[in-house]
Amino acid sequence: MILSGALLLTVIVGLLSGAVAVSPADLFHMLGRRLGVTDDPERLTDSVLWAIRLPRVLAGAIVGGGLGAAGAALQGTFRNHMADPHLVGISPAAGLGAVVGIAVTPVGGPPVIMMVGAAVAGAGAALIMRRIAGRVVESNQFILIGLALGLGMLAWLGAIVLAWDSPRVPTFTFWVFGGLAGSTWSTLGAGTPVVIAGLAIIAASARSLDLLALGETEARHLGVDVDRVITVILIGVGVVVGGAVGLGGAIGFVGLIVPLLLRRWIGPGHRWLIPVATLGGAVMVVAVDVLARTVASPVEIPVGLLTAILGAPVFIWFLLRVGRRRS
Amino acid sequence: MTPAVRAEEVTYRRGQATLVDRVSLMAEPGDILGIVGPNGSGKTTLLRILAGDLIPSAGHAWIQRVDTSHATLQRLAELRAYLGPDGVAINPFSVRDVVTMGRHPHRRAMMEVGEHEAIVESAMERTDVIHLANREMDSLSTGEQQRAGLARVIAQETPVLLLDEPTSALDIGHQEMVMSVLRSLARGGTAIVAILHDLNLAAAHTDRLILLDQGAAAAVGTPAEVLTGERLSAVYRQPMQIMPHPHRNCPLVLTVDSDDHTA
Repeated sequence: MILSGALLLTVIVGLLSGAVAVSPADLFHMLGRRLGVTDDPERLTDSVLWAIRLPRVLAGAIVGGGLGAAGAALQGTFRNHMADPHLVGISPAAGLGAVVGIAVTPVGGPPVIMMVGAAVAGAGAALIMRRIAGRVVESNQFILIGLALGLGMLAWLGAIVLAWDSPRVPTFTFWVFGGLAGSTWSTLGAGTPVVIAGLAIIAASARSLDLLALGETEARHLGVDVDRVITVILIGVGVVVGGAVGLGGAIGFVGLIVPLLLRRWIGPGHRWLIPVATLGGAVMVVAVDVLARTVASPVEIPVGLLTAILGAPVFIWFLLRVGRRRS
Repeated sequence: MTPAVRAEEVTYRRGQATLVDRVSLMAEPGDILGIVGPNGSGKTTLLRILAGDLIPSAGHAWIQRVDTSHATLQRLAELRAYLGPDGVAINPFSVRDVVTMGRHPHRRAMMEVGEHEAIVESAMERTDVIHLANREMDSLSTGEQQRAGLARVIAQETPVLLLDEPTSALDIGHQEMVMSVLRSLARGGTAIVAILHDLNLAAAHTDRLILLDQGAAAAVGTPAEVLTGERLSAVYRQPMQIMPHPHRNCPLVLTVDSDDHTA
């Protein structure tokens, strides 16, 4: 409830803030015209709101929601609270898949091919990490391998983007630090169904995620087909992250700190954690995107830079706290 | 009557090593069967074959009439519950949540929510964790986690319980308590197969024992039949002596120094 209110609030703030000044009255004016309630003449703010702000804010909510849920699901699957789509290499892989998708799309073709490429690559990376998790015992080693996988993917991605140097491909900055500035109704239309399809898979697996917390052997003894369930969840995560990366580039730390903070508040049960992390992630990205547009206005800061500036200290604090508990 | 658990000549090989070597055993409903033996004698491997986790290289294992190598995970979860040596892996769920997860195989049973809850509460009472019901698992001591894990497998309400060292982390009072919980479950018709390290606990509280030595059954029978000084000394490579327990009608196992062995 609180989070739904917070989401609505951040969305409104997100619509009102930016380079062109927009008042709440302008917002109602645009809504009135769009819904056919009023026939007032069009204002400049109408097109700013409709063509630029609204798709951007919605993209932020979808990207953030997807990343929050994906982080919660990954942490449950790997029983590792450091697992995050960015840290374990899924986001960079999805970026690489997106660029390959763009490369095979004919000029002027729909963005949906890019989204599919990102989703397939994201799911592939998630399943590779599952194989790796089966071979390592140390959770830190797992995260380090994920980081290495991600850095490798990012290097390939950078090489392709920089060598290709085509206006059809977003800049390397977008793939490293994300950005919502390029959001249009067209990309939103291609990315949203992808994210929602993945979210549906994750949400349907919430009970299995709870049972996995007992341990894979214990879950199997309770009748859970662990290998199948984990494969399904990881495909769901990869698809969500693919859609999110296609929409907003690689935005880090959302999938890490949103579940981390919310789990302390609402407890570990995934039937609550998944929907709440979805809302929480949406709030975080929409809010941070407002900052990204306004702190250095008229210059924009990539949204992923800000999530990293905010998220990195939280992550370090968490690692120190875990270390202290162990000793 | 169909035995609750039966194994016939099960063998399990991994690479060159034979971890379990032609072991046969049987437990009727109401029996407590103890598996004893030194480290590395194949106790856990044998239990995991009975559970259907491992498919034997040769031989067969059944729970009731179901061959555990061919049963679905759901069917197995209705037939047997399994408690590993570490009880339940560290997790942030509450004891009540974890014990409730034991009801998972019965989620489609025609039961009211209240019936499931009553089973969960009574399982927590039996293993003396009801006062910890709302505590998180990772805030408990190892012994408390082990008792919570036992409550979870009791809540699973299966005709067979397979327990891998259910008392390893418990103080002596709770060890006796857990064994008497197992006895009362057995009186209700549950068949229990438990790996036990403490030979005196096994002697006092099991109906039958199987003593494993390097994967093979060195002896099968009642505690009095299996636990002889000569046999234990040979299998454990440690001189041991048997005395009658002064109060309980069971053998008492003592370790002795090598020069006392013949005394």
